[in-house]
Amino acid sequence: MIYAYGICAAATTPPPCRGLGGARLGVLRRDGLAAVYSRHRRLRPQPTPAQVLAHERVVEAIMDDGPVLPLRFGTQLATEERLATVLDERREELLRTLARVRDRVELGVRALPTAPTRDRAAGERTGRAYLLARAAQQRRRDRTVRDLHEPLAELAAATVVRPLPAPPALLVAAYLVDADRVAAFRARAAALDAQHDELDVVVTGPWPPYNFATEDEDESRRR
Amino acid sequence: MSDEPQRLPARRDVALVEVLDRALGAGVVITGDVVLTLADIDLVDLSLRLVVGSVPTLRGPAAAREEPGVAP
Repeated sequence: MIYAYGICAAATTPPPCRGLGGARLGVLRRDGLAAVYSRHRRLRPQPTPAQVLAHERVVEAIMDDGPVLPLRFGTQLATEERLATVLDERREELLRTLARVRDRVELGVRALPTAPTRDRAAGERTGRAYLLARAAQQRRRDRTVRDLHEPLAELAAATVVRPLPAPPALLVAAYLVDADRVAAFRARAAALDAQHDELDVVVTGPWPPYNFATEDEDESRRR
Repeated sequence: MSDEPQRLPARRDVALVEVLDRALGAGVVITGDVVLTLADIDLVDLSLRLVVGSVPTLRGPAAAREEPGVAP
């Protein structure tokens, strides 16, 4: 069995760290593309903090060396040949996506209400009251997208907004930002945070471009 | 939903949530080869949402990894 972490350009050097379970990392190169993986006799990936952080550490190490398309946690294949086949079959798409994330990073933004709120809709007893509370929640989310997301999106090459963030979050979004615009993005987020007393705006990252690793994820979709 | 204020988790837990959210919910999917079961992901996602919903402060992943007890 092999476990795969990320897809990168063929010039990528092996990351200077270890993989899941302390395994040594290998780089499989295939005609302009490469994948970083480790070999395992027995591995049952579980979404535990230790394992997910080990995956993340490898993906970040690849990112230090060049563009990376992170693979979803838990990606296992039978053999190196199978991994090579995946690179061959999806070659054009993977090269395009790699080019898109080159010299860019993912930043995460979460906006939450400053004042503690309860999920009012969940506490309503009548259907009508429930629906009214839900509608109010949706208006608040829409307003947050207009006030926060739209000005931030101007500084991004691509964005992904989660359509229904779990309350009380009003905005959960990811931004693909040019490496040299990260400071400007943070400054605008800080300014928006200062303008909106009712919101806490938190920027996280830079992250590997998990949310921009496939072509269909722009302005989208996810949850 | 309970009226009791939720206990704030340690900040490193929240940074971890950001990592889990990405590594389990996004990234390239190689169809047919992902071994992780849907049930695993749903459970994690559910607990993630509870944590994320309750805490506004976050740190980067590098800081989280430096905390003892989190690194593998």
